[in-house]
Amino acid sequence: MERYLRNKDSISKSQQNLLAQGHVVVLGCGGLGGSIAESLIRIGIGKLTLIDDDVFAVSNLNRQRFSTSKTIGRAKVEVAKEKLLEINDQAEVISKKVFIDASNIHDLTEGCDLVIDALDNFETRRIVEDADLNVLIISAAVAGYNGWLTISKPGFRNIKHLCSHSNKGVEQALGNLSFTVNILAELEVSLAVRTLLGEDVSLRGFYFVDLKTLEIEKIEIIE
Amino acid sequence: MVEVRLFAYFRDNRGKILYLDPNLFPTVQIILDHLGIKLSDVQILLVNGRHSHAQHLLKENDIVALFPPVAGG
Repeated sequence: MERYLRNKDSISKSQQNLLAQGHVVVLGCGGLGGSIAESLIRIGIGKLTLIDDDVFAVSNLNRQRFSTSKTIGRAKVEVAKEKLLEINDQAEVISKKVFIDASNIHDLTEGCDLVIDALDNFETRRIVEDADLNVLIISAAVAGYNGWLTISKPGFRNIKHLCSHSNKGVEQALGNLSFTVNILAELEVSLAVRTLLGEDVSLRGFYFVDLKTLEIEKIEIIE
Repeated sequence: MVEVRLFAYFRDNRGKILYLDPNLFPTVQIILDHLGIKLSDVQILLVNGRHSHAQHLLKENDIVALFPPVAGG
């Protein structure tokens, strides 16, 4: 298919078919989530569910993919769905404007192949990991010039290491920069694609990204 | 020497990796005091890859890693 011509030979025709059969749930549709959603749709994921209860605000314009002066005040997931279907109207995009909590996380992720955490707080991340979902969770977070990236599944819980008892981190002071958000989002997508293509990307620990030293360090944690 | 690996903004004006004498800096808390980092600002404190605490007694060749909390999206 001409749409995916430039994915080859890194993604073969049979692998492209695998991606087309994939269903990915993206939790959060802000800075990380918007970029992740666009990249997944462009690379050929067949079905995408976007979950976020928020609307676009002016302070989102510095980094969030689908925020524009015209979309301020509109639901993030609805705007994202419209834009994603403009990119690929053959994809199935489901938008759910709901707040994620322990009571709905199983229903929201039922039947999917993969969950991507694009959230902005520790509390919801804990809920997602503690839900013991039967699928792999790819997770990342950012603050200033830094971010972390990890993969979690039953028996390999890694998100817990990164969650503070307070709900927010140093991004409260350092902010969320566009390039940091987009790099971490694309790293999540790269792990998502490799996972959907059957590669084992699991680890015990996390990757830490420093955009001042241009390094990605693998941090292994012994339990 | 104890190898102290700093991450994120902890590196600002301190560097990325420091080597400190465990006889002069016998605990993680003393290292934090030396660096001017509050324990409450540290989310992950690893000694040789395992979660640890500020009073951990350090020995030669130990590796300490310190990370702040990062949650943004």
